[in-house]
Amino acid sequence: MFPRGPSHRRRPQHRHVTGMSASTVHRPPAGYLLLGTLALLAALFCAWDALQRKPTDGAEWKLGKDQIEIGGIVPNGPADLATSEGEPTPLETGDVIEGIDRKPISSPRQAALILRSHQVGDVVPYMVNRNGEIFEADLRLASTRTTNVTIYFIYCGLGLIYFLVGLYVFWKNPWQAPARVFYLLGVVFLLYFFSSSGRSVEYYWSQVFSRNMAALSSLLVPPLFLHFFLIFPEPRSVVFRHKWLLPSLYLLPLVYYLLFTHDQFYGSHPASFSGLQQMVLGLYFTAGLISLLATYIHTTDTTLRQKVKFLTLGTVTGVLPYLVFTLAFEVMLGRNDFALLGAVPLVLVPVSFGYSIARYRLMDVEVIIRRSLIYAVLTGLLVGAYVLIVIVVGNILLKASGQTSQLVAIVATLLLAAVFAPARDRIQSFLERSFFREKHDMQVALQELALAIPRTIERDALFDLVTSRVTALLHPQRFAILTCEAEVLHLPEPLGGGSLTKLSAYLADRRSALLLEALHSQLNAPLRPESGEEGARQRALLSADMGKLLAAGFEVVVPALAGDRLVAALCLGPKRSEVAYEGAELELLTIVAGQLGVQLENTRLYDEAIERRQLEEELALARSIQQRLLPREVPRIESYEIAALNLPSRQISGDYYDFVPMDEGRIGVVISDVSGKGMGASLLASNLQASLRALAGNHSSPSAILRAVNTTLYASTDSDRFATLFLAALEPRQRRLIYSSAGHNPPLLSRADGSCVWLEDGATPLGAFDGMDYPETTVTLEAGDVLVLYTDGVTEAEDPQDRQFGIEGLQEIVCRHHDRPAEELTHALKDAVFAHVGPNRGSAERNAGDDLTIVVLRVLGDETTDATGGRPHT
Amino acid sequence: MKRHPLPLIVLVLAVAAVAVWAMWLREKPLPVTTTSREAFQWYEKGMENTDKLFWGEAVQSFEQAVALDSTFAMAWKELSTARRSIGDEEGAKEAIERAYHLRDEVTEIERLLIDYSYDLSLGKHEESKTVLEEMARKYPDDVRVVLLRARRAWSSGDRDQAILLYEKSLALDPNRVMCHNQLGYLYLDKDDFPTAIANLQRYAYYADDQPNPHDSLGEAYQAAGQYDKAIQEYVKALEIRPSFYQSAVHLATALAITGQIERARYTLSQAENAMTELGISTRFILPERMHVEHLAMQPEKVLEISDREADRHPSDDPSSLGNCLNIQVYRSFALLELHRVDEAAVSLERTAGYWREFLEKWGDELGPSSLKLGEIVGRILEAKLLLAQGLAWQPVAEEIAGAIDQAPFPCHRKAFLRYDLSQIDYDGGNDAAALEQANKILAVIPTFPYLNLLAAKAHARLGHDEEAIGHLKVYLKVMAMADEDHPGVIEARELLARLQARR
Repeated sequence: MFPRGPSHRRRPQHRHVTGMSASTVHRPPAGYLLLGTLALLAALFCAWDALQRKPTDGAEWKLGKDQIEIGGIVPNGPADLATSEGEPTPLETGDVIEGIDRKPISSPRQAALILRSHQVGDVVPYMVNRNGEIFEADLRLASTRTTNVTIYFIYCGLGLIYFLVGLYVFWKNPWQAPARVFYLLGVVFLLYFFSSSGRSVEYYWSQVFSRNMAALSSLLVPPLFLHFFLIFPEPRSVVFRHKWLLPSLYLLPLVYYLLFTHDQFYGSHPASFSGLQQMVLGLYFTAGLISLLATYIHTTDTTLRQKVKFLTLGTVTGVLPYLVFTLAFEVMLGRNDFALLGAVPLVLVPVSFGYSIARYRLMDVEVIIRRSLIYAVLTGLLVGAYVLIVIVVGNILLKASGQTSQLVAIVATLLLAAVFAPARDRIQSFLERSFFREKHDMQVALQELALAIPRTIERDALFDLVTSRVTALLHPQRFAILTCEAEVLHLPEPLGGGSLTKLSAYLADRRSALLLEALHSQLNAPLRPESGEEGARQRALLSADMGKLLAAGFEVVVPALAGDRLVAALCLGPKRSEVAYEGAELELLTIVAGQLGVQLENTRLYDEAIERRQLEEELALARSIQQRLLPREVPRIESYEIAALNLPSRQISGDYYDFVPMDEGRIGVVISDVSGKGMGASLLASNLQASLRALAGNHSSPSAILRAVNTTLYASTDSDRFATLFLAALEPRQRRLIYSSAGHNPPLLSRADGSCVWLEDGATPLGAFDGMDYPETTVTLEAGDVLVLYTDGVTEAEDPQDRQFGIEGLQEIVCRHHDRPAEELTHALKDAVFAHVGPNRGSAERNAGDDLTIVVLRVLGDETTDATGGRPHT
Repeated sequence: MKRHPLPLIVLVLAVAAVAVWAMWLREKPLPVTTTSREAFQWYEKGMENTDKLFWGEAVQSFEQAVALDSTFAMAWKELSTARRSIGDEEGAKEAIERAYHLRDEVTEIERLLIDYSYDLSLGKHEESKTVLEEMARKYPDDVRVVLLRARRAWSSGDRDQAILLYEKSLALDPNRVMCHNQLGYLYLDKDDFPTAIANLQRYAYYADDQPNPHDSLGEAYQAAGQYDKAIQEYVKALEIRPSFYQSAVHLATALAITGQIERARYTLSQAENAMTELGISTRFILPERMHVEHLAMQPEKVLEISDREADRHPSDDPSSLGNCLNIQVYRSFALLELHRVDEAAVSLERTAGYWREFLEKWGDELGPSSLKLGEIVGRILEAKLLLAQGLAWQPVAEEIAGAIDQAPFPCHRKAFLRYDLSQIDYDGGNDAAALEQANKILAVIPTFPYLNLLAAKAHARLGHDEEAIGHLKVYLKVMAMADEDHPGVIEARELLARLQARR
């Protein structure tokens, strides 16, 4: 009845499987791609429109009016430079244009049609109504093309960078919320930059479209920016506490856009964003920056901190100038000539993102840059730079020295050639340090792991450590750590399932990493000599196991051994860069796997030590409970001798005995054996004792008491919990014993005349069945009779040959020592049991089974009393 | 298997696009009944020329149209109007008859339009009115109907209704720029110079290549006392079309008012040449010459011109008799100014005779304004004669004042009448009455030079030197370009010098 300890707890068979097969790759949601496509088309349309040379008169008109009322004048535009009869007569806000090119107009569409029939530079007569006064003005049409094309292209470039970086991040991680928001931010920035051509809106619907795209995008950028940095790099707690926060970020910009649209049609002035609105939008940016900075400052995760360091720097450096030069200057000073100073640094945001992605796998996006491509580009750039330098330096030296150009050119070339190779090497080394970590950081990584692994005692943390470092170092497409059960590796179900018995055995003899493909080919090579049928079969089994790993997408397997025992294996798929694993890398893996194996064993021992200590603590507590159950001293009854003994085993088993006062001077003698071991048994015994003592006061017969106790015990315990119990009500004066048994070992009544009677009457153990009746029997005691109560720890004690002491042994000892005092008889019985178990066994082994519990009741003659009274031996 | 809706959507969109394109490409139905698109194009060209008052070109265009489609009823109708405008009454009658006979082959609205024109051509005013009312009821938003109603309202004296209808026409078709011209004159008749000028400016802007808009705008400026601008517009009109003799006449008048007599005379010579080239009798220029000399305060010249024509017996047509009447009127004024009283009396008799004859023959065709104008002019001459004869002129003058006040034409058309009356009062020594008449005009046209000079003289005689100086300054400013020997300017300068010396 000894429970199995926790050391045999099952562990998961597979841990830390990284990478996904092609069949499980999720495609980006179509809706997002469609949105991006539409945005790109809109942006390209805005760019096309910005570059169009359509004739314009430099007047902004108010939508929604029945006539063309000027809402604004483009400074130094045609309307501002209008003349009337040769005199400057600039148009003004509020003027109504009634005719263009001597045609009446009443709608912008008509105006656009008329203007489109002209060329840029044409002088067109306008008829203007200014507060009822009509006059003619000549306007020289200008071009709708954006005035500063260079700056506009810079803006477009910025927008494209944002869009492409956002698209790439989203493509790699379409189901990550931060990736999606980042993508949307890129889309909106694309629209923003492409539609910000700095033109005013005139008659053409395409310009109305561009303006609305500019307005919408400029309103969406701030909330998206804030949204992104509230959930990246880590979601802020406020996002979890208030689910409504993120959607509410977009409410105010939406209201602003509705107001903007209203102003377009019904406003008394050209639609624009007020200073207050721009300041509010600026606060969004500020809040986003604060969120990012707070995350960077407060995070304790050094890896995360490293990842976002450059990103934080780039974002702050990129956004602050925008807030100052573009928003603040325009709002407070009304100047937008510094807008470029504010816009250009914004490129730092996507650049810093791109760098962090390439360098640190930010957002779990990996960019594996082909080494050869980088080197080719680098070489080409260096060659170009050197050619240029040769020309420039040659010219300088020529002027300075006055030497012939040919000599100078040769000297310059030689000098520069001398530094070409070192310079290239330096730059190449930098690139390798930055982007090709395998070579440079191999040693560093090994050192780090060598230090970190022994310190990691938690199994899960150990797996995490190895997984993160190995994948960061080698960038395998797949990675898994397979663990063993009984020294056999098991494949988890997602990888195909099954045991790798043969491979496990093979690996146990190997300590280095194996290239599966090569070995698999070797095993299956038809020309290899077979070593008999058994050998061929073994090879086939091994080949099959390898085939399973290859099918799961792994290329390399590295055993992790603890001594000679295989405890785990590292499995790696091909590298993302498609470069083969080099010897140094395999060696690294071998070392790491070796450390892992040792540490796994340590963690196992550690876990076992923890469990053992827990168990011992539990046993000590159970023991103390049990000791408290036993009476401190046996009752003194005239003409009777009582002795009791309880020797607890190593695993507490729940034996107890008790002497319960009953009515009419009777004494209840109880012995019980509770099922189970440890704390559970002790608690049940305690419960049983309490119930019995309580019920003994209400019932007079042992039968009734047992019936009541049974009912109580049945109701309060599980079905697998029960107790055997023998209860005898001793009437001392009458020398009568009324007893009832609930499945307990039948006590032995050794009569004075040498006969022995087993008190066997009884029923099932307590708690096994509800509603049981327990028959009671009365025996008369004579002087010299000895009643021995015991538990199965006596009769079931086994010798080295597994032979039990048995009731025969018990009877034999009792009869032999019948005339001895009860206490001596008790000890004699105990000694006999120990002798039976074996004299060479230590007390630990002797106590490895059940408790030893013995109660002896000796009926004395009238003249004989036990002076000692006796204390129970424990 | 799930069907993807995208191909079906694309197919539907493609079919819709093709249908729209086909509808766009198909020829739109013509707005008038004709079998020939080419004829319609000539018809449109004719309508353009009609709007521009290029009647000769309009006739040619409509003739081309009916040549291509002899059943083109509306073209026949418009041809009739154009022919009448150039004085070809027989041709006009023939054309409207052809249109009328084709009335059953056209749409209802075209039939009604033809009926209306036909009834008018026959002088059936009531019948034409009935047709117009039917058109107004059935086609209230047909711009052609609205224009006819506007014209009728105007001719019947309901200026406000005419204004509303012309504005409605513009709302229906902003390209009917001629409406601005009508509106300009209508507002002029209400003495609303700013609105009149604004409308005529619009007309001049839209029809910048036509002389008539500039001429009309010039008239508006002139009525408002903005003589410089008026002259500019007349000049523009003549630059566009040198043969537009109407502008030449108006220009000459404006030049004469501002004292540029030599230039005015030259302009009239040019107009005479233009009329000769057009085959128009230059007799009609004679009253204008006399008018210029009258404005230039050159009665001798007036007589010199009139002596050449005064004895020619007028032919039996209203324009010729009217011409003779005008000549006689100017002659009468001139004689009175020269104090040749007996000759003036004879001239007045002759004038009165012409007037009676005119009334007998064509009095029914004269509007109330013209009738009143004739009466008032006659009474003015009478009062002047009485004054010259030293007889009681005041009662007549008072009657004239009352008649002018009640006359059914705008203030600016009364300017010269009040000037004449004011002159009578001044010459008769009634400075207060003279000033009263002058101020009625000067309140509306502050720059009217004649009354400024007269007012200055009256104020000076009354001892109101400051007022006199003020009027003299206005007068001299208006007459800044006047000829050096302009008598009015000489008189004004002398008076100004005296008054300034008197200060």
